Amino acid sequence: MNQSFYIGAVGAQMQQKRMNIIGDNIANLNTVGFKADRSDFTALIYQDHRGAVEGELTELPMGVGTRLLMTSTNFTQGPVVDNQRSLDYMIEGDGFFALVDLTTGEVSYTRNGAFTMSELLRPTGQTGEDGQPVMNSVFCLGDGTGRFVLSEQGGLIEVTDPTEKLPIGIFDYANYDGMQQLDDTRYMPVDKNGNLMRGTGTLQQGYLEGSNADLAEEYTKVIESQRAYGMALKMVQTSDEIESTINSLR
Amino acid sequence: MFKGFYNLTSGMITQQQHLNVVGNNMVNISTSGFKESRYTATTFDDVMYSRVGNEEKIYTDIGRQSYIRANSEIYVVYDQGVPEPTAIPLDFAIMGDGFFAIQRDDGTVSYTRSGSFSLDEEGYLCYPGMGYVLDPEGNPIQLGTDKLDVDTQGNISNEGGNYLGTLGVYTFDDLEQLEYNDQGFFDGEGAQAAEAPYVLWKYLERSNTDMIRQMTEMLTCQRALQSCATVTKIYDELMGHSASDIGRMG
Repeated sequence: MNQSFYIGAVGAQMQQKRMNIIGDNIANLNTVGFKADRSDFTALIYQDHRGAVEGELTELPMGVGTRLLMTSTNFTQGPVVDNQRSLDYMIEGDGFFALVDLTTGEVSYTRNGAFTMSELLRPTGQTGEDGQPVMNSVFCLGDGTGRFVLSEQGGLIEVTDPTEKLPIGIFDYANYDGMQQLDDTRYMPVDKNGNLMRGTGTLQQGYLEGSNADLAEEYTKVIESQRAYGMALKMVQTSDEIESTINSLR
Repeated sequence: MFKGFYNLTSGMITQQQHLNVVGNNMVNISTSGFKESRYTATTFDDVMYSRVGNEEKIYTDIGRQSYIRANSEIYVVYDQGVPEPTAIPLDFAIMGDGFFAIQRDDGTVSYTRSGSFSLDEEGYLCYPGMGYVLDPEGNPIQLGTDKLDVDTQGNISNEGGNYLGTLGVYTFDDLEQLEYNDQGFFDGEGAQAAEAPYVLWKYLERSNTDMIRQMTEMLTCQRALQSCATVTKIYDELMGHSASDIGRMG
């Protein structure tokens, strides 16, 4: 079959993948703490073809398509959302909130500061009449999905007065490139992100950081991607017509 | 056999190869730093066309003709692509002449206009899946952070203003000798560090593919191929007549 047939098909397929990434950015326009992703493409392998110049044979490299190389996350600051809710926090500048999952001990990081008061049962050290340890119920700052927010010292933050500014820790990494993305707009550092350090950002109470995806920019990419998709399919169609021309030779 | 029969076949084959090149240009519309290729075909060695059967029964040269159309060269068009703002701190675009140098795993150096870089596990600036990005002296650049500040000369410093390294921009006296390698990068000898490079930070150079041109070339190729096919069919009919009508005995 013609190479151009597959070149067109690969092109359309890659634009589809790009649309998936753009679609995710657009769907998360109102997601607090969301950071937009971008797709990076690179050329697929080049093959050598025989060429003829003045009777001598030459090698001519011909490309065979495109491929998605990686996605990069844009970590720039999102817009400020003023909610007047005392348990909403945002970081102005660099840094992340740290969330700990007490069942697994796993610590993950997020820019989403919409926190809640979560109940935590703490043993009091006394044993009740039925032989069971007596549990004392306290409320700590959590993210509403079972994880707890870490303080500057790395401990849990007990909330007694939700209106006061809580000592929430801001943590940071030297390098954001390649951070692993988890659900709930959380990020997990990998080896190359470096060591944990204190974030330079400042804590703002009563505000949230909105999504940094920009609808105008994303929509421009949608149009561009759609056109590129159409062009790639035109190439598939042309190759198909050529096949039918060749087939009708006899 | 009729000579034109093979001539037309070579026409169809080269139009198909042309279409492969056009297709590759089209689908790389989203590939940063991509440079479009242009396909050129040539005639094979000319042959003298002679006439016999005149009164004196001697050969008279009446002109030249060639039998075969073959691909001669695929040129790379090094026109500047449009810089696109990305807001991602490991994106760079060269304005004007020059290439980024990427040292591949086997020690060889390839060149590219694509500046969508990443950091590896040790904090070196790298092109994902390819190798280290080199500075003007030909050494890898260790950053360790992606919180950077980069001037238009390609000097990279961290947010505190400490100098970390310089992006190498390499130029060639003769771009003709550069060749696409199997990874879609350029290979070539005689690279010199540019004296006054102009690097845009947080920008990527877009593909320089001219869509209108590619679309037009695609149509031209298709129609030329169809014309070849139509004439081939006429030859086929002619041969049919020769075989069944002229050749009929008794």
